[in-house]
Amino acid sequence: MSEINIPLVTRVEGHGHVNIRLRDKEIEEVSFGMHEGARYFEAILVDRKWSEVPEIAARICGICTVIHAVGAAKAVENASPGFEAPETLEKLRKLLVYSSHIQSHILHLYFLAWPDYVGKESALAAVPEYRELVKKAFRMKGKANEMTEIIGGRMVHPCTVMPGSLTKSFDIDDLKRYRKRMADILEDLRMSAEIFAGLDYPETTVETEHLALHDGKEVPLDHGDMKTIAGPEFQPSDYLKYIRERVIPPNTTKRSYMDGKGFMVGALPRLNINHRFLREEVREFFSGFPSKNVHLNNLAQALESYHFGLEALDMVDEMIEGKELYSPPKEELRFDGSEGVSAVEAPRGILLHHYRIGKDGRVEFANIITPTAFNFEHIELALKEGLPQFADSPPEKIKFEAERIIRAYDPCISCSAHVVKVE
Amino acid sequence: MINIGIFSLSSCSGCLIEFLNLEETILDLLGFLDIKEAQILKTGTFDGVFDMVFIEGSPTNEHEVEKLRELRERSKMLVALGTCACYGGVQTMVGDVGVESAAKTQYGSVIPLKTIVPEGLGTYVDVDHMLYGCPFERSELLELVKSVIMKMDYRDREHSVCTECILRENRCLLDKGKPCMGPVTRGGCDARCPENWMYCTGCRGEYSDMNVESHRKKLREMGYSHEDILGMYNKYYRRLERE
Repeated sequence: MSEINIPLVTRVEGHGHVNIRLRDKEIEEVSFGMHEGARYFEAILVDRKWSEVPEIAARICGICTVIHAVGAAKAVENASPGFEAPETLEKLRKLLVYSSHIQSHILHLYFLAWPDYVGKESALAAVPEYRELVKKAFRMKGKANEMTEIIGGRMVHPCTVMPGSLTKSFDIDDLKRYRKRMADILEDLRMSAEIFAGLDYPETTVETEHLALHDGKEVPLDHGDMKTIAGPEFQPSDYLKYIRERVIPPNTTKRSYMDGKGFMVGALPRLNINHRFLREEVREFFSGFPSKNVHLNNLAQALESYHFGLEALDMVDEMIEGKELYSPPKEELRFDGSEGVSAVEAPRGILLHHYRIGKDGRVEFANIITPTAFNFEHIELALKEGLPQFADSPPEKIKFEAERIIRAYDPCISCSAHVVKVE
Repeated sequence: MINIGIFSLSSCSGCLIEFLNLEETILDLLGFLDIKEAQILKTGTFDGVFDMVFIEGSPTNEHEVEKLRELRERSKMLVALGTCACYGGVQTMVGDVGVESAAKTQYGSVIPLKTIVPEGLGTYVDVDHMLYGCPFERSELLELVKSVIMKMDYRDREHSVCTECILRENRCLLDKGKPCMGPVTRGGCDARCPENWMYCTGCRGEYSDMNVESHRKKLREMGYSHEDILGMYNKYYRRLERE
């Protein structure tokens, strides 16, 4: 018997490890673990003011910071009786989320995942051969970040996102500045879809359910019901009825199940469920949805980036044409002890925020379930499915393939401190 | 070439992301810096001596304290990257709740890892430079790297966010009734939040010449309670003790 250990998975966000046990050239056991330090967000949010929730929740993750802030703001709004977000606010937040998803996808695609497909240790090591492409990747990421900054005030940890409002006014010039940047990178986003549609992906198919937001009109990121490919569609506020979490000894990590099985969230589930709503220009690159090959999550991210770019441009054009201006409302939100749940799509999958806010405007209860917590069980299933075909190979090859599977999920381990919750 | 390493303790990784947000400038820096180890960016580890090590996050368990001490020993210069590394960051709020009670709220009865209340890196090791902010400002990172390359001094800014806010000709948010931390917060961000009509929440921490008493008095006059003021001051690290 021999063991292969990866003490620290590289080119992913946060700290994860893998142990693989081999016997007679067969893989006997695979386990994936996360050893992220505990930061106790659900505990420290309690007693904080409603207005501080997006600011603090954004700090859960520096990559999905925008969607944490927006998701937190929406959950707080849902706890405020009678509040309904004005349309222009929703549109501006959507533009913010589009830019942030493109930034996160480009970071993952070129800097974390792509080096595996060209045999490099990093994107920077690929510079001598692929200088122009790496520069383009930086440029796409940079422009997307600038768009995030135009609306959010800051690239990492936006400062304008409040429950019920954005803190500042927006005029046509702001929208035009956003538009220019998106138009600047659109061709490169198209090129990315083409590049990632042309890669030779390994096959790791896991036959479980996929879960994503769904509204029957678009690829929704900030609203909609929760839907599986074949199974139920339900309201986010009913999540506790459908999603169970449990612990399997000796692992102390909490895992998520639907109908007793692990499931996947992320770009691939989003497109498996919503591919009919992809733009025509995007659909021409791939017609194989639904697919349960987890490596295609990379491709799905590249397709989405182009799709979101096209959608954002149309929306911002409409806003410019309609002269849609925004200024923050004067009145503040009110609370009466109600609970609010929001489900949004982080770049790496569904993200749930759930709060109860007292009459004094302070948080009484907080629960946050992050996409990597949802995917945790599924990542291990994929390792069990995908590694046996390499059991004969040298340890270095097995390690490489294990890391490649994990990277496909674009996990965000800082986010998922929640997964170590034990009943 | 200057050997560098980029490491992460308990954090959101936002400062690593902000480092990568230098975008194409990183390609220029590669002419001077050799990135020997950076878990998020490349495979492989490095066992040698770092000329410069950047550490984000703050230790939340003994493992991380050990890792920090080990990194200090083999680094000629240690840079605390962002407010978590400088002062502990938002996770220090657990100090108010108490680690045990927080663990119960978050994890139920079984606590997976013995955790400690986070503090800045300076509690455990000598820190050569601090880049303040949540996240830090890229302009200050570039200024520091340039001064190291050119062997020049790098100095912290010892003025408030207000100084920069006034230069940008913003109207005072305290005067508008907002709980702004600008007067007691170190500048260097170009008054980023007030510029976006958001009051300063103090993410860059204290500076030498601040007047906390006068700021607290002003907030009390505006109607903020003692509890409110403690909450504002003790968000990115513990600045005020309960009386």
